Amino acid sequence: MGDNEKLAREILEKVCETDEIFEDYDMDLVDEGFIDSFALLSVILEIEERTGKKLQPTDIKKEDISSINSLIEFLGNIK
Amino acid sequence: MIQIEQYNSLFNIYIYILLVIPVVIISLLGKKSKILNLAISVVMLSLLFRLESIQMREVCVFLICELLLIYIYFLIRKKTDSKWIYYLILLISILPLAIVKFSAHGKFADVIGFVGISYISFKIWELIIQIYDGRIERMKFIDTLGFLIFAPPFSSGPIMRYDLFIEESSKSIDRKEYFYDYLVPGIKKIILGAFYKFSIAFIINEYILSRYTELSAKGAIAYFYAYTLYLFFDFAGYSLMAVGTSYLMGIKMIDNFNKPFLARNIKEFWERWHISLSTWFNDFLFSRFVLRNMRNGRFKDTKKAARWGYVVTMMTMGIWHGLYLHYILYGLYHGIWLVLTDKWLKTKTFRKVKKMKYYNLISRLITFHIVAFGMLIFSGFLISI
Repeated sequence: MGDNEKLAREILEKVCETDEIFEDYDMDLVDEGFIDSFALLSVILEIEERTGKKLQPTDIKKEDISSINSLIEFLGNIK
Repeated sequence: MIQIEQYNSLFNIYIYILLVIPVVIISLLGKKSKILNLAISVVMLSLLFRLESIQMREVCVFLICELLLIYIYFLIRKKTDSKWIYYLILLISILPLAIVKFSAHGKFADVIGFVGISYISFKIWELIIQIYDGRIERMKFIDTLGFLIFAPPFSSGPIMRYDLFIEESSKSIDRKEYFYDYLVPGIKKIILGAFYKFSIAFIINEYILSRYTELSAKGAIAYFYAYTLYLFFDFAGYSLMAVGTSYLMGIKMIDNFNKPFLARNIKEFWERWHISLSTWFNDFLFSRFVLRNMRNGRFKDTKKAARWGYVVTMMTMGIWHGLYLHYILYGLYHGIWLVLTDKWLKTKTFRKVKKMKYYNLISRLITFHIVAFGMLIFSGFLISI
């Protein structure tokens, strides 16, 4: 498991409060109701806590956290 | 302040369409010109304010000062990310709007300020905030000026966003794409908007609102429903025409309304009503308020931070409309409803109720009434009693 994958799993598990999301990395978390508009803020705070990288709300979009794979990709781009 | 609307008559729209014909022609030839768009914006604004008016001079002075401020800050930000300088620059950029809002109560109300100052201010703040965030690395003068004075949504929005404007004005569109994705939808939007504003809103105003000016039980009820519908059709119609005109100029904008009366709660309502305003406030005030207070530990709990965030954001939105008691109460009213909605959506009862047969219908009716009562506060009708 790569670093970004591990990080993405940890963050989304905490934000969605469930490990059901691991079943399918492409599952649309918005459609499935795991993620609402606050999730974005929680993800920003989690990324900051774990990597020290400070993000602003305009740096990240809902699509970036809509599945585990998209968060892995996003994390790859900010590093 | 003298109020002039951009899309208040079919004649104005006719003139606007004539003005954008050169862009339509070159776009259909597969070309794009930032200079032409800028020139058309200048002509549209000159028609809006009239060249010799005091407002026109105010627009020019305002623009020069704000552009200087933005560019000076852009240079400063390269050297330092000092928070205090950032706050100072933000404060200076807010001053003109604050003066206009204060002077609305004084004897110079007619000469101070120009229509659209509230909307152009959002764009200026967005630029300053994004410069501070380090999101803007290069600034081309033609883009910055083009963004600030982009005429179709100038007087009453929707609020254009910098990222989208730069993306749209810089990308090349071939003739086929322009025809199907810009020209046709643009014309459709203008026609639908004109229908909303000049037919539906006009009829509501002519046959209901203007007839029930005296206070009576029947009058109050008719006013209650009619005013909300009037506001929607008037403003949504206006927004559609602005967005449509922008499409014709080869610039896509987000739609400002998405069937707001289908909202099942107030949170959803704000995702559907005056979307450009609510997303602006979400990105630049609400989210930042929550993050800031979580980072500095003032709130331990995101929920609590978010609930305070709702109240602060909606009050600010109320004040932005104007320094009047009814606008401030309107903001507070929506702030409180957002907090209550947030609590309600997390209850077990809600999850049960959501599965019931008539949930959608009943929740939409209730939401509509909450919204309509808010509009009544907004109209100042209640305060005047």
